[in-house]
Amino acid sequence: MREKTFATQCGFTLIETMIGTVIAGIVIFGVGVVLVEAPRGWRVMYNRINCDVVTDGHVAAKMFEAVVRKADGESFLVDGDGDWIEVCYYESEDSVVVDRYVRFYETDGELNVEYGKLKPKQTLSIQTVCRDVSDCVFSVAGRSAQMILTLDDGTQANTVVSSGVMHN
Amino acid sequence: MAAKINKSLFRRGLSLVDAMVAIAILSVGVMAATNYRYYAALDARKATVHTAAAKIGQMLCESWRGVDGAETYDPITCLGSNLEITTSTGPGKPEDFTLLGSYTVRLNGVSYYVTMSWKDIYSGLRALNVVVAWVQREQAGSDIDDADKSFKLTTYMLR
Repeated sequence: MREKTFATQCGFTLIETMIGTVIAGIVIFGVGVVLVEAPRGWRVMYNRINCDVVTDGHVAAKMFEAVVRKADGESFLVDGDGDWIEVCYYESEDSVVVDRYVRFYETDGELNVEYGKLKPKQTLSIQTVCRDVSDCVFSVAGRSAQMILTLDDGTQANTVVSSGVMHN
Repeated sequence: MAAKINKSLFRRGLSLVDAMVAIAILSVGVMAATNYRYYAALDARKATVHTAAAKIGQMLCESWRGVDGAETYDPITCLGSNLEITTSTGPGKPEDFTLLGSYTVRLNGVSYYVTMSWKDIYSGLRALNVVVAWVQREQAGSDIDDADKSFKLTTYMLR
C-alpha cells in the first residue's frame, strides 16, 4: 500500500525544473537591476529638478530682476567685461534723489550682492546669493540690464538668463 | 497518523503555469514602475525647457523694451557675446506685425527658435512680440520644422 502511494506521486521533471530555473533567474536578475537602479534614478531625477544648481539659478534670476526693476534708469554702472553691474535706487518714497546702490559681482565662484549708501558711498551689507558660479556676465541695453549666469557643481551645469527694465 | 502522512505526501505544489502567471504579474508591475520613472523624467525635462524658453522670451522682450522698442534693435549685438545666438529661420509672427528678425538661441544644450516682431497700436503705443519655439524631443538634425512647442509673449510700451 505504501509503495503504491509513492509510485503515483506527481513531481517536476528535470526539463521543467531547468526551464523554471532559467526563467526565474532572468526575472530575478531583471527585478534586481530595477531595484538597484531605482534609488539612483530617483536621486538623479530629483537632483535634476531640485539641486542647488537649479534652484539657486532661479533665486538669483528673481533677485536680479526684482532689484533692477526698482532701479533708476539714468544712474547705473556696468563693467566693460561684464564682470559686475551697479544700479541705484530710491530708498523710500520720501527720497528726492537716488540714495542707495546695489552691486552684483562674482568672486571666487560666488555671486554676491552688495547694498550700500550713496553720497558718501558706504557699504551697508554684502550677501552671497549663490555658489558654484562658473560664469556670470552682465550687460545693459538702453534702460534694461541682463544677467547670464552659469552654475556648475561638477555634476550638473545650468545656465539661466534674466533681464529687467529699470523703471524709475 | 496514517491519514496525516498521506495528506502530506499528496499536497499540491506550484506548477510551471502557476509560476509563469506569477512572473507575468510581477513583470507588469515592474514595467509600470519603469514607465512611471521614464515619464516623470521626461516631464521634468519638458518643464525645465519650457521655463528656459519663457526666460529667453522675457529677456529678449525686456532688452528690446530697454531701447524703446527700436526697429534697429539687434539681439546678436546686444547679447551675442554672452549668449549663443545666431540669425536663422524662426516661427511665424502674428498677423499685422512687422518682423524684426528670427534667431536661434542655444541654452543648456537645447535650441530655441525665436521670432521678434512689432506693431504700432497707435501713435505712442507699440506692441513688441516674441515667439519662442522648440523641439520637445530634440534629436541630432532637428530644426525649426520639428518644433512642436512655443511660448508667445507680447509687451506694450509707451514711446
